[in-house]
Amino acid sequence: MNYKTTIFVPSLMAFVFSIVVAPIASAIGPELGKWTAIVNSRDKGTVFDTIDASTPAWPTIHSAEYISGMKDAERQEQVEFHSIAHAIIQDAKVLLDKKPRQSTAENWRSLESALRLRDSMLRNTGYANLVLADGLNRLGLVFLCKELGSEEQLSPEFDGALSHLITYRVNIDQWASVTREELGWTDEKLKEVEGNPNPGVGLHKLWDRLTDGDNFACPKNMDHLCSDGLLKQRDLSMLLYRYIYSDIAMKRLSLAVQYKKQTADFSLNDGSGKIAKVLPSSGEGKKMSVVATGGVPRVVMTKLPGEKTNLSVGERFLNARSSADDVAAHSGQNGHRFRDQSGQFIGA
Amino acid sequence: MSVVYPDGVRVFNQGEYTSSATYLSFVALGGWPLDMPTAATLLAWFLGNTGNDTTVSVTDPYLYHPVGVEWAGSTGPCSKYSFPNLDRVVSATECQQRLGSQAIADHYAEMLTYFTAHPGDTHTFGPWSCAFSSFTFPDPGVYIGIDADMYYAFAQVNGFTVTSYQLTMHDSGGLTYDILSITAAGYFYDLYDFDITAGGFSIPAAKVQAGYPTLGDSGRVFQEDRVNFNGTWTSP
Repeated sequence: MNYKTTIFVPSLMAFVFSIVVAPIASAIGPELGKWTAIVNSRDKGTVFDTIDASTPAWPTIHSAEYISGMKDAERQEQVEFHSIAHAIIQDAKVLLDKKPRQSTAENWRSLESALRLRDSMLRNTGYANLVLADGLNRLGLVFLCKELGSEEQLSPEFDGALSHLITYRVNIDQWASVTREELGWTDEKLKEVEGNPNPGVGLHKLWDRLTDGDNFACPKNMDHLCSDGLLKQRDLSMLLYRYIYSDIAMKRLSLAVQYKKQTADFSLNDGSGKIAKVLPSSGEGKKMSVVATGGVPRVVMTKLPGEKTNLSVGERFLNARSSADDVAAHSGQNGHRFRDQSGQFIGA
Repeated sequence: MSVVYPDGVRVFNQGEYTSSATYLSFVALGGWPLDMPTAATLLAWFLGNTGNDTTVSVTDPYLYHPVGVEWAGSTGPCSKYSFPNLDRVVSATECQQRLGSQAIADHYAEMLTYFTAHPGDTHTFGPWSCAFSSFTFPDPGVYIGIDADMYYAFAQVNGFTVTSYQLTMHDSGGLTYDILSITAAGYFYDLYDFDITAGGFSIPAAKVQAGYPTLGDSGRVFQEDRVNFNGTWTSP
């Protein structure tokens, strides 16, 4: 089977969803007022063109379920911030819809602005903050994947944007805090999650407890996978699912960029064998031997753990280092295509 | 109990069909980052395949349930999915285990004779050939990697034939011979459909299959044309 380096694009296109944005209501607090003004003033561009250094920090925004138990004024403000959150997701989609190589200086500035907004959202801890931050991470991932897949030289802005994107690290204590707040979990229930020195293992424990040990490859319920759906209805397990995917996608994007830079004859049709010659091997895999014991031969397989340093949180969660196979992708032979939840086909 | 449907009849509605198809599209999308491109591709093909390349019989022994086909009498049209070369089959643990065991069963004396005469040497044995009357890629118990890819894509297959295979082995002493690489070429056959009793995503997939064509275009059974493989696995 033939693979190519555009793996990220189809696997992340699940992020692209149609969103209906509610009209933004009038302001209550000063921060809300400024954010409302920003969203309402984006006549032709996106919110990312409008925000700047004077934009107020993004506050802690909870889930719709949590908000429903708040007092009136506070609840109203949170509800209106949810409307702004939907507008931000819609604008992310607008930026994603730009065709490859339409990445003008203006679009690069919008991406940088989106990533600064992500950083601002993560300085406070709230369920909706996590949803939006992952949405903006995926915006960055898909934007940069399109650039990488253009088969042209990378834009001068590429490295800076990639560096900014991958400064993000999944923060297990932030996750524990949101789980405690949203679901009322106790210290006992968060044991081995909060403060776990291996965040990948800690987050796997959180996944197991949130889902009763569901299969990560095909969870039973994927109803709320999109940003819009996660904002409308709280689903911490699907949000965690997205975070793990985003994390490993960032790692593989970095590897693919490394491969492209070190390969003079780079092509999107490059197979995993060619990629493996460029990217360093971790030594992970298996060893096979024929061993004769008491005159009876048998096949013995031994697992080789390989190098385990510099693994990302997602790689630790999956207990697998990203390989050349992962960097490569299926060629889409026979014109195979995916379709999204609205029935529209997404090119694979 | 129905004679045509000996397992009984299950009733589900348009909403269940649509939500199951949506769910499966997400499962397929998620397969790529987990190093399961084959499983993801086949599942995506199941959700949107067209074409009338061949026919399937209602009595096909590999069809779990007689649904997912627009029957015209006892047969119905279906499409074919082609695998020019699924080289990662050779890297699947089950394939390696079976080839290693087969090599021992058929050719251990040859290996022993060679390494007795050339202790500490590295040598390529074969090419040999073999066939397996039954072959199943087992559930590896993990959800990432080639073994999971083969399990979720195929599980049980038929006509598993290895037209040529070679083992490069090294005598490590003490009657231990390390297999440094395996090169193999061959093929097998499979029919892509779902058993609702198998659990996991087979349940929504079987519902989608049963909904074709009355509830939508997704869920159409298809034949995997002879799955060819020709590749080399090298020990890290």
